[in-house]
Amino acid sequence: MFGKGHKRKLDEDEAGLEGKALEVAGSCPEGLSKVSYTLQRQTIFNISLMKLYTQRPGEPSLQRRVLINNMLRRIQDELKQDGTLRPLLLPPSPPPDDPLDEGYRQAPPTFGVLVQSQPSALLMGPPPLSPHPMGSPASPNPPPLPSLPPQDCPLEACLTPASLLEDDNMESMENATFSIATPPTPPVSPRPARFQSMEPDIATSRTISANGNTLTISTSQLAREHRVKPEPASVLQAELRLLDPLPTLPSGGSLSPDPPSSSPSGFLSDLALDDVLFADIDTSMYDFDPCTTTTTSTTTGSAAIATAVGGISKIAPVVTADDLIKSLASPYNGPAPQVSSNQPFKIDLTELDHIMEVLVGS
Amino acid sequence: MVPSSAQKVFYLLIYFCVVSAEAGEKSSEMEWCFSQVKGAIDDEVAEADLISAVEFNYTGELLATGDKGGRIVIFQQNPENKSQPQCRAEYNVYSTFQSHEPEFDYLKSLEIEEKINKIRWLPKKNAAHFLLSTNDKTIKLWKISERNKRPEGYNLRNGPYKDFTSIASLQVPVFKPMDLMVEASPRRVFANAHKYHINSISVNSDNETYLSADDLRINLWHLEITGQSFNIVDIKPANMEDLTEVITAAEFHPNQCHTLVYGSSKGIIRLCDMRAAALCDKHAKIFEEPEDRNSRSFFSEIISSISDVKFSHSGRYMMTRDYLSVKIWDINMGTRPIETFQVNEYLRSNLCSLYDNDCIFDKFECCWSGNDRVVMTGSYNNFFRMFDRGFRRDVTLEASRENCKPQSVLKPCKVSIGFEISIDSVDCNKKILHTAWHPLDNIIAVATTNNLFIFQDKLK
Repeated sequence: MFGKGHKRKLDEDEAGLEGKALEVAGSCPEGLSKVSYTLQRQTIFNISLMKLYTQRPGEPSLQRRVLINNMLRRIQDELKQDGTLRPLLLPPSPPPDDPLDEGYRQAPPTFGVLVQSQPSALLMGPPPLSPHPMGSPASPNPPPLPSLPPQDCPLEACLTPASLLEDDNMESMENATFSIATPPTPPVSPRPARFQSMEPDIATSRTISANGNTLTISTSQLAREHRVKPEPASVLQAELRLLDPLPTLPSGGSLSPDPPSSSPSGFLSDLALDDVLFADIDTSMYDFDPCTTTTTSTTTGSAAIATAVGGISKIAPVVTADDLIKSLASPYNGPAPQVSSNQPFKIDLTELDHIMEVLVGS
Repeated sequence: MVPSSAQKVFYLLIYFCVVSAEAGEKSSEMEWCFSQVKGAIDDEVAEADLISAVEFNYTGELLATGDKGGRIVIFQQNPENKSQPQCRAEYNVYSTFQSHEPEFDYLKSLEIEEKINKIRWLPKKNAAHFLLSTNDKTIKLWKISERNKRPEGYNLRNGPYKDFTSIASLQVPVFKPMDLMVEASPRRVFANAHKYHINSISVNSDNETYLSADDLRINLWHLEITGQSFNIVDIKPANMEDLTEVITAAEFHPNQCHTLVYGSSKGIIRLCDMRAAALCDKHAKIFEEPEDRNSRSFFSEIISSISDVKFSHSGRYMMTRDYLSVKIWDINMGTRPIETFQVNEYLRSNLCSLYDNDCIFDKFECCWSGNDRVVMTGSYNNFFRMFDRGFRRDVTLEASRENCKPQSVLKPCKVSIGFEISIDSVDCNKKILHTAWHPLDNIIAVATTNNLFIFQDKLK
């Protein structure tokens, strides 16, 4: 079943990678070398992601999901402690929500990827697991990753200027695929420099948003109670249904209405890409007044994004009646639920990312 | 030198002493004989036939099993054979009924499984038997009663109604014997109290209340009142994304009606005293073994998750089952268990594969013998293990149809732990999750996927 004896390559498929790790793990449990330890860790990380994101037949068990989520958090903390954390822009789709859980959502991981060429960052000897996750359940949330800009209203406070994100995102979108079957490839060497330059902007933009609606992307803070309605995720899922090889997601109506989904906010950094791609889309069908008014003070890039988003959202309603109703209804929402009306735009952009990835990948 | 006759006698005496001593030791070791197997023979297992609960009643006369299809089958010990030691473990079907039906939660678009998660008998109060059965959301109290008499001789109602003007004389209806009929009727339905999946129910020693536990809450019910329940433990965090621990099993103390314990997915057991406060969120005592740093791995938390917690019959001890071991705790000492038995340590090197195929989340149950001296639990490959606390011995037995000759003694299986066992030889589809031990005798019921095996101790 597993690829035994395969020469490990960067683009080796998931099964081979797992098989190797399992073999290593199975054969020498105690004297794990640094590389095999990180390999096993990465494998477990991937397996955990697959488990969370794959819709299982039958009832999803809260205990199982909590344990898998704890595993992911632990690995994330370890990676952060290693210092080799690379913000990885993973695809936006949340795992199929179990409405039972009333908002317990596993964070779409924004974990970093081990950079292959940094052995010094690897731990010496049998690395101790992070003590953090072993703490009591009341332990505070792990600090958010400084990877993605927070989302807030007004819009301009959240969006990193498109020019800064553009170059990075082109590469990151190629690397980050939704199908977690392929392990995320390590970033190429020029990237670290760009990420470094990006981070100060992210840091400052996070401090701008001071009110309670701040959403920083981290595993712990992802599914915060929010005014956002669940429609963005449903729109997102509707779009994802178009992509065949991906795991199926539940229909839009199955999301719990109580705690709204806020996972789409993790993909603000993708907006710039769509600006480039869809700036010429006819937006006459939709008149997103709330959005454009909030973006008056943004750069022209952001305004273009907003209008582009309006056009982009045309794609989504085609998929389900629910989405159609919601997207049609959103222009008529008053300025009050600003965040909720902003949400669909971001989601749609990221959906298009996936379309792009599929196109590029084929 | 030729021994004298006196010396010969002496040596002979010693020999006999040794032999009889050995025999004495052997006779204290239990040997298990096959008694019966219930269930379909064919390998094609219907999903609905998967056994999901096994429980003896307080006298051991009745054995209830629940399956994934929501049915309960009750077996009764054959009253004629009870006194015969060789075939005292003969159980025949007593009653079969559909306990739970599949439901659909329209609000959340979720199907509620009818699988029976737990069965608990109530102590017998009158001629009828009562048991509690639960699926993920609803608990039901069932009354199982016998009927062997039927009234006959009605004046108006024998068959079609007679015209009363045609009756010349009256007769008194009398009870006539009839074939035994066992009826099961739902007497109470305790519903709509759990948002999450119920994993445990436990009857209190006061015979009036019982608890039901789901992933995040424990509720206290009165057996007579279905309209409301009290929440006594709630570990749901204010922010659901802070959730890192869930309740996995809960039980009332067998003698103290104010004491309950619950185990969690982090391997922590908490004892609560209901006298302290109405809400027992704050535990009275905590049982947690410090982690062994040497055997720490990625899966340490998952394999420490408590899958079952059972008080001993005496109430002095408590047993917990996690993925690889069984631990016996003294309820007065929470720092570490007093005994730890490794059930399937050979799985430790295969945890990654077991995580991959989800078998690491299997919830094995455990049970005490009637005298609290032996504990039993199941494993993979249809193995089940018994640990004798007194003699510090353990034995691995297999429940398979190959050892199905009546009265055939089960041979202990040898599981070599000297070298690594590959994951391929572990059959994760043949697992024994549910076992039960007769409260007063050495009769055990072991449930494989869809078969129920009954073994009895070979009395010497």
